[in-house]
Amino acid sequence: MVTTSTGIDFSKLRQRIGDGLLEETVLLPMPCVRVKRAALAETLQFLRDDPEFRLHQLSELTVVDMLYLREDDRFDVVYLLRNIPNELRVAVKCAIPEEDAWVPTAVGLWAAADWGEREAFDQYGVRFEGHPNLKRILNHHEFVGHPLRKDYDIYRGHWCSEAETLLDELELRRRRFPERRNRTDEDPGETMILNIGPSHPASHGTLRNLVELDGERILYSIPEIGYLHRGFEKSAETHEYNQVVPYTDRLNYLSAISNNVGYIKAVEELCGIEVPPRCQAIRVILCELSRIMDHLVCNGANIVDLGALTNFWYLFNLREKIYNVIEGVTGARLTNSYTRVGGLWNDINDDFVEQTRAVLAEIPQHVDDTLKLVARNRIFLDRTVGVGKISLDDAISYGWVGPCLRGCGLDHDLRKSDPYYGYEQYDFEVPVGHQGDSYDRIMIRFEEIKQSARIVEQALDNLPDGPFRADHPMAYLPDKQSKTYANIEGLVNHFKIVMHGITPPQGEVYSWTEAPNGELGFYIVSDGGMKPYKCKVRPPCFYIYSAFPHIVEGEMIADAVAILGSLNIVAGELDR
Amino acid sequence: MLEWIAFVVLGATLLTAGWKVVTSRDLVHSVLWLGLTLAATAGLFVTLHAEFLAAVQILLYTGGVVTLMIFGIMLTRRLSSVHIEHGSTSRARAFALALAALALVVFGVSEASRVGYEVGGSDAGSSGLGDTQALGSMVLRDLVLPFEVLSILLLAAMIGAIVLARKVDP
Amino acid sequence: MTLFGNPWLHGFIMGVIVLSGAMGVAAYAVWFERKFAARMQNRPGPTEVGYAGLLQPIADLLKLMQKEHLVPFSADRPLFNLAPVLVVIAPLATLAVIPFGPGWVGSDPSIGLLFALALSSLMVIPIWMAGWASNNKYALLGAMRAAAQAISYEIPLLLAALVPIILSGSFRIGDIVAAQEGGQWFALWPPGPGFLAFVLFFLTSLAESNRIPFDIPEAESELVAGVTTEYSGMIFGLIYLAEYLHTFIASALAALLFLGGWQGPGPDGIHWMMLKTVLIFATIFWIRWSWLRYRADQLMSICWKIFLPLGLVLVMASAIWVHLR
Repeated sequence: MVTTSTGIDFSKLRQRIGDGLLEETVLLPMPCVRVKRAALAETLQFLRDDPEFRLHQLSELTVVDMLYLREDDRFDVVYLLRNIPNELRVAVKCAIPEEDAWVPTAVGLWAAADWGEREAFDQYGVRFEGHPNLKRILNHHEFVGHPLRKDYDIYRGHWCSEAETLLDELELRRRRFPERRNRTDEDPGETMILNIGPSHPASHGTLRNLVELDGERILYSIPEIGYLHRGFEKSAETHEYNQVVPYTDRLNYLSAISNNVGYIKAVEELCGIEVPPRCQAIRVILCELSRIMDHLVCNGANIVDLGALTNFWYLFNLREKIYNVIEGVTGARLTNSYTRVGGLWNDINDDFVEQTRAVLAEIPQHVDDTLKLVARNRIFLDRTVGVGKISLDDAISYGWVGPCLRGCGLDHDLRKSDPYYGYEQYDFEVPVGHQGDSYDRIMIRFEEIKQSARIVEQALDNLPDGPFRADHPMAYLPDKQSKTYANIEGLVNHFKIVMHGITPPQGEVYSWTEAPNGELGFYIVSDGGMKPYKCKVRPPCFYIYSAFPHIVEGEMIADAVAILGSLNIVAGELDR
Repeated sequence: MLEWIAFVVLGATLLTAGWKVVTSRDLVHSVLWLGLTLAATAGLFVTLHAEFLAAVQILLYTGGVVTLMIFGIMLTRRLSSVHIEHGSTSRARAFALALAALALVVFGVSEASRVGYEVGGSDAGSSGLGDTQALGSMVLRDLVLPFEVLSILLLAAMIGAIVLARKVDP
Repeated sequence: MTLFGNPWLHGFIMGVIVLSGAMGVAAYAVWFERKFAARMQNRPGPTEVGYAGLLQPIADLLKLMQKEHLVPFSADRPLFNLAPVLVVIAPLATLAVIPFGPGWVGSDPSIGLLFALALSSLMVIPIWMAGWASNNKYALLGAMRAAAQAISYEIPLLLAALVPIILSGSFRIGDIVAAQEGGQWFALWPPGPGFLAFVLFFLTSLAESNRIPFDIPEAESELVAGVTTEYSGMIFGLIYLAEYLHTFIASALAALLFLGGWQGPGPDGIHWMMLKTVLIFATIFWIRWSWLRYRADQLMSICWKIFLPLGLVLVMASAIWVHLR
């Protein structure tokens, strides 16, 4: 891999923290600074506030267990910071020893650090000093040990019997926001504590939300996640690169191909494989079809939460039709596992193009039928306009991305601002809301459906010919007759793929795509072996959901349900 | 004969329900027994051919007042438990009050039958009360004073409730 | 007035006809609604049991009867079991005074309309009982919403019903229908207030029978199933039945009070009454499957800020109309 200079000048930071800054490196594709723990807090503060950087979003926070990679300090705490409008990303790394595994918290700087640090603590046992509520988040509270540590015994069983009451978190929140309790009255009277979920018609998937109610108004909301935690990241560490693909299907199972593509793009960047234009175009088409399906499900279910059932069928019928097309290509409807490192499982089927065109022609009618029912319906407007508002600054601080962030009025889409797979050649628009309420989020999704259809249409028109996978030794088994049996390079290549699989060079990469929910990032560390050393996924809805209490506190219970629907929380992706 | 049976059944229901209103320890049960009491009273009105009064009794008392009381329970009490206990602290005083009320009722009934007081003309029992015109003229002509007094009483109660429920001056 | 001479015989026969008819109506209302919704939603609906799924209600009934009757451990057992029984009594009793054609009525007392409205106002008590006795928070929230909604919407409902009472000068439903003789339906005549009163009556009946957009007591996406959360089997079926009966009665009353009941162009009779009732019934379903649900507080503000003043104005207007006529 080439380590390119990223052209970011860290001299001001160096002046500020002196020899606290150990090293300027690269975490592909962004610049990375390695700092001492003593200088970490100041570095983060500087990067957030300095006018040159203004990294106002903590995009991802994770830990790498360096047990097998180096002798000294065992953990690397990794912060991926980001300025969204400038598309500037900086990584900050801080090494800490095992016996003294702590770093100062960043909760005061970015709201996203709250859940990010809890997850890092849960999975690696790194303590974040000063965090107000450093509890497990994905694993059960009776779980022992930290599963993503390299020396964790994966065959170990756990006896987890009791559900958490969450009353401790409720107490914390009461103390943190005492004014919410007293907002309506000096004597709020009796309140009611209600568990919404984990099994509730509105929790699409398995989400639990403990709310304290004053009448029907939510005073405090405590979300508990992890009911669908399957240990995706641990599984990824024990499977070869291509074997991880089926696991990614189960992340956001409403748009499985987007996850396939997001993951494989990271691996390809790690290996330095450039896929041919035809493969790129097919990936774009399938990703956009997935986006359409994801939005159809999200909006359909959201409107059901608001009480209108008929739209659900209008939208789901369309989704089924798209699934028919995708089934023709991938052989599966829900869990496609369509991508491979360096290409695709197979080329598209012969009638794919006409089938897709037929479905595209139907999209406007289905969407317009729904919009006719809701868009100017007084009840719909009363239930969504101004409901579940979040300010742009809060949204960024909580780590929001994608349609939800665009709903707050930020014109930002990775397909425009940082195009990959030739998105720059397609003509499409990015819908933007203006007040960050449920209405904006729903309408943005409807508009994105139409824009995605435009992209698919253009991609079909200009579908390049050529191979569907890269001409790279790791991309596919060499042809037996002409290569494996014919020359020694072919034989060696065949042997290497069969025996060692795909072996990217040692290194690390953070790669992102604009998934239906927003930035889907994969942070992959390779030790040069055939399995990822670490594979961290940054699911967009994890950070979006962390803002849920902030939004719903003070709203009615009926609105909380509708807001949850508009955020498009997919439990598979949230809990991994 | 049929009316006699109806009277006995309704009367027995009314007495039992009334007794249970007082003796039930569960506030919600008390309120529901009260609903039955009021409904049985409406039944008695029907046996007396006062259909309009019976319908109004159900509409206002059983449908309205009991619902309002239920609503009162839900607004004022803890919502997380089914059983809300209540009871009288002084049985003797309650008994004395009940006796006094009984005496008042007996006196009123005997007085009324002695004087022979009747409302709404002679054919009050027949279909006359289905006629809105007769009803309207009765309420707004013959009985206009009690009607207005009641209205003012209700208005005063409503203003009082608003004053009590209002927060301290903003 | 009686079809079968002897009032006892008439009462008995009408009772049998009305009660069995009501059960059939409720069962087939479910089938009708499912088919109706399915057509709206590009799907076939029930097709398997009998021709076009016509035996589906019977299959559903058998299924419900076979289910176990579960009572939650901490429920208030007597109330829990009593509530669904009481819930069907009010609509069944109301049917006694609803005329479906000239003479096709159990009894047409002088206070018929008042009786029907009084009984419909009673329905909230057993519904609330069911929610309270379940000792479930969702059921309780549903019960609270039901009580609040019933108290509020009863007033505009009564005000809307007062308009035909004032116009016809009688509480007797037969008289109200008779007063609309010759196509002078109260929904059309007097032009303004009559129609508005019809709309008001229709909307408030939607709220009284907990239909979308006013179905907040059982809002399934928020409160799981509201008051019916803990009910199972046929005892759940009873609450369901009561709701359909209530909706049916509301449609029948709207047809009687505002659309001339069994009168129509051509020969009068029960067929007109059924047609009008079913049309209103279908409109309710139509609304249910196309609109969204209001939020509890919005529901209240609509009631108190729009429906109630509108009802008062309509009552005044119709009184003035009668006076000037």
